[in-house]
Formats: sequence, C-alpha cells, structure tokens
Amino acid sequence: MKKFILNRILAMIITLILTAVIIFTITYLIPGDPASALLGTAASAAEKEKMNHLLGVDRPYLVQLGDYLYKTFIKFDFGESWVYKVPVFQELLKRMPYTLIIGLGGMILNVTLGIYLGVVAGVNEGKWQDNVTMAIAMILASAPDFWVALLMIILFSVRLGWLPPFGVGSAKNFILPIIASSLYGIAVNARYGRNSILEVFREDYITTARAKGVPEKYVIRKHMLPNALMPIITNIGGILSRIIAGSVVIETVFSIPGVGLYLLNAVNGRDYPAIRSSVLFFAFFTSVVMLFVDLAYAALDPRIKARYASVGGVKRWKNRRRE
Amino acid sequence: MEKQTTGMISSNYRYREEKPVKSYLTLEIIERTLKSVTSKIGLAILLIIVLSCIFAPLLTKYDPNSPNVGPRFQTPNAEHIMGTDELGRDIFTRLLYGGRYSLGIGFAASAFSVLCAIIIGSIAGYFGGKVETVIMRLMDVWSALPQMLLAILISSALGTGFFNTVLALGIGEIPYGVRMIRAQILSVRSSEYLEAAETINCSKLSIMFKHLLPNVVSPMIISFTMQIGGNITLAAGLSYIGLGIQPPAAEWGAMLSSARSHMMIYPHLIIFPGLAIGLTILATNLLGDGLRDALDPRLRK
Repeated sequence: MKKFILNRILAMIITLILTAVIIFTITYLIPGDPASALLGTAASAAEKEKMNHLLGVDRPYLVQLGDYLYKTFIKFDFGESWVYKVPVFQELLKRMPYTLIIGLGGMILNVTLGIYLGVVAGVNEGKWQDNVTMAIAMILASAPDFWVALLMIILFSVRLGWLPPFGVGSAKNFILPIIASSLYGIAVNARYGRNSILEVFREDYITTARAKGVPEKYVIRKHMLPNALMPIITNIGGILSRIIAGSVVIETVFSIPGVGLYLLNAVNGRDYPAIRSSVLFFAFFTSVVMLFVDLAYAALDPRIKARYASVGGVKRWKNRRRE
Repeated sequence: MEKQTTGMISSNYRYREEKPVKSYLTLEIIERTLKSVTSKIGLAILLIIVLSCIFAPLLTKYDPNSPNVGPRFQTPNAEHIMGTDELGRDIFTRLLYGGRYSLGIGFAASAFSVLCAIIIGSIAGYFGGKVETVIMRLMDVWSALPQMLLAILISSALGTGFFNTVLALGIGEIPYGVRMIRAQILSVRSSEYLEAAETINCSKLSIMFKHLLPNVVSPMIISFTMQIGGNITLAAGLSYIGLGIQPPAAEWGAMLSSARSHMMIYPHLIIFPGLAIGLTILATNLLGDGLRDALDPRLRK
C-alpha cells in the first residue's frame, strides 16, 4: 500500500509538471506582445521594448520555460500579476476558499443525491420511481447548468426574494451556486448508480443475503452499495473536472470573486502569470482529489492492494497485462 | 471475363459477398436504434432542429441582426412568437440563425476530435511498445486539464470566432477518444485474423484501415453523438463568458450573455435560448443512448 501511494504521488507530480509545460506553451503562443496590452496603443516602441524586457518575455522560449518551471516548482514563486502588481499566490489564497466551497459542496451534493436517486431507481426498476428519476436525470444532464443557474436567480432571488442573487456576503449566497454546479453530476451519478444496482441486483450473494432473512434495507446498504459504488468512484474524476472548469462560468453568473473569475479576468487582460497560476491551481486541485479517489478505490478494491503487496506481484501483474 | 485466374475469381467473389453484409449491418443498426421510442423521439427532435436551422429563411420573415423589427422587450405574441430582445430583434429568428453556429460548432468539434482520436488511438493501439507508452502518457497529461479550461486557454491564444472555438473544444476531447480506441484495438490486437493479415504481407496502413478501424466504428459513432451535446453546452458557456462566438452574432450562448443584464425584468430573453440548447442536448442524449444500446449489446440490460 505504501508503495502504491508513493507511486501515485510521484505520478501526480510528474503530471503536474508536464501540465505546467502545456499551460506555459499555450500562453506563450498567445499572439501579440503583452507590453502593448499593458501600456495601450499610445506607448512608443522603445517603451514597449523596455516593458517586454522587464517582464522577461523577449527571451527565447526554452529559457522562459525553464525559468517558469524553476520558479514554480522549486521556489514556489508564482510571480506577480502584470496588471494589478500583486503577487499571484496571495490573490489565489484570497480567492481559493470561494472556489473550494462551491466545488467541494457541489461534489458532496451530487455524489450523495446522485447515488440516492440511482439506488431508488435501481431497486424499483420499471416502476414509476424509476421512470421519474431517470426522466429527472435526463433533463438535468441536458439543461446547461449556467442557464439553470440564471433561471434559479430569477425564481428564488428576483421573484421570491429568498436568496441573494450575487456576491459572497453570507452563507446563503453559496446555496444557489452549489446547487447549480452539482446538477450535471447528480444526473450522471443517478444513471451510473442505477446501472450498477441493476448489475448486482440478481447476483447470487444478494439472493443468499435475502434467503438468510436480512431485511431489504440492509441488503441494499450493506451488500449492494459497496459494489455499486465502484463505478461511481471511477467516474468522480470526470464530474470533478467538469465542476472545476464550470466554476469559471458559474462564478461569472453569480459574480463570485473566486479563482474562476480571476482566470477569466486574467485571460481578458493578457495577465500571463495570473492565467498560468490559476490554471495550474485547477490542475493541482483536480489531481489531489484524483489522488484521494484512487486511494479510496485501492482501499475498497482488494485486487489493487494485492497488486502492490510485493515486488514479484507487481511484475507478475504487469506481464499478465502485456499478453 | 470468360477466363479468370482462381485468385481473381476468389477476390471477386469475396467482394460481392462483402457488400450486402455491410449494407445489412447498417440497416440493422438503424433498425435496432429506432426500435426504442426514446431514440425515435431524439432523432425526430434533432432532425426538426437541424432542418429548421438550415431552412431558417423559409420559416421567418425577419432578419436576425436587423434591430427594431418590432418594439423592444416584447413578450411572446402573435407577431413575434418568442418576443423581441433588447434591440427589438425577433428572438425566434435569432434562435434559428444562431442554431447554425451552435449546431455547427457541436458537430464540427465532435467530428474533429473523433478524427484526431482515431488517428492517434490506432497508432498507439497498433504499434504498441514505446510509441504506445509515450502517446498514452501524453494523453494522461492532456486530460489532466479539464476540457473547458483547455478551451478557455486555447481560445485565448487563438482568439474568438467559429473555427477557433471548434478547435478549442475539439482539442480538449481528443484524449478520451484516444483511450477508447486504443482499448478497442488492444482487444483485437492479438486475434488470429490480424495475424493472418500480417502473414500474407498486408501493409501496416492497410491493416490499420481495413482490419483494425472497422472495430472502432461503433464506439466512435456513439461517442460522436454523445459529444455533440457536451460541445454545444461548452460552446454556449464559452460564449456566455465572452470567449466563444461574439455578439451580435446570434449564437445561443451569446444570446444568453447579451440578455443577462435584462433578465431580471424580461425572463423570456433567457428562457428561449436556454430551451433551445437544452432541447438539442436532450435530443442528442436520447439518440446517443439508443445508439449505444443498438451498437453495444454488452451494455444492454
């Protein structure tokens, strides 16, 4: 198990570094020099050149890339925003809580509610509960979440006046964004949950449990759920990356000063350090959650644990897969 | 034609035999797909939306971008069945013309990513070894960045507009397709008919195109259909935050974006574009589910 965790963390670090290379390369390819964006068109050529030299963007690609990687991964220095002249890391720290609350809140809501709906639909296969749940899931998977968010603002904030529409003043402000960002995941998890419940529903060990006289409630909770959870756990990564990336749109809709809005402003202002660091933050957040998902998976699935039980085991397993 | 060598006869014979089998298969797939009511509904909705966007000029007498075809902010009425927007433009007309952008982006981005995925995935799956390892690790890194973030980054580098948005969305989706195709090819890589093809000295290209790729057709059709919906949502999201298609173009997301300052008082400005997006995605999802059930019997319950 220790070996598995170490392997996994090492892989995560390498992936992050390569991601940083991709992010840097894409931002490097953005046409137009940053100095004209920062100084405006009125600036003279000499001024622009001086500015470009100051920012270090007149150096060759590889030198800039090396410098960027060195600063980011060895010194943990994320640079200074070119537009606001504030260290990017400080700004990210200030904005991170909002994005994390919405992202993690949305994750928790969609996993719990999605699994619940999926189980309800699965154990009532073919009955009205199943049809209603699957219809809801279909609609949630189809409606664009930011549009539903706009509709919720109109209904709950403007018409009913229950919840504030914009900003981050109170805890109430986060209710709508969390719901909005969980919608798609609820739909996906409900469908996956239903499918995997159906898969185990007629397995022999379930029949055995029922024959022993275990109440249906416990059959579902103790015997079906652990197996039904596996595909959902595998799928968490996909939903998470959608929520993370969707945070840019959701934060725009609700005017929440999180990392997503920071990234959008940085893109519009050609603020390279801010773009790179906020995208890297998202990648880091995703891979940390994926790390925990993989560990949870390994803990739940004895086969993965066995794979790393001994060195010989690893080799045998690898050879078997090659064939 | 009277005297033929045995080889030619047999190849001719094989050719004749192959044809009806193929058309029978396509027919059967269509038949099996349309057997379920939901996929029929999905296909019908999608066809109606696509056709009405193509023949938009026949369905409406207004121009999508000319302002003041009626009073501003009209709620739906007989003259303007979905009302008018903040510049007095007819919303129904704008939806029809805007559908050309939204659907175009959805189809083109999915097609682009599927094509790239087929090329990269079959190279990885067929050649194996170091090539495969390098490609798959690259795909891992590639997919570490969520598609929307990659799209934001790429469209900030390429700029806005139709083709740039297609590229921005398509590129982010490639790794998932590559993984699927590689898995599909791995499952047949060691089968006997491939060994036979290699023994009779088929070129690598012809093995790839004639013997390997037919195996990935059905999963690719499914994922192509499924991706259309996702890409339309993402494109609308991109336009909403001001990066995809720019107003005054009538893309659905751009319509939502320009309506957002008036939505509190005039909800119909955002209800209809959103419904159009939602309905299109619902249709592709229903159709995609039907296709998956028809093409991939293992997934049927």
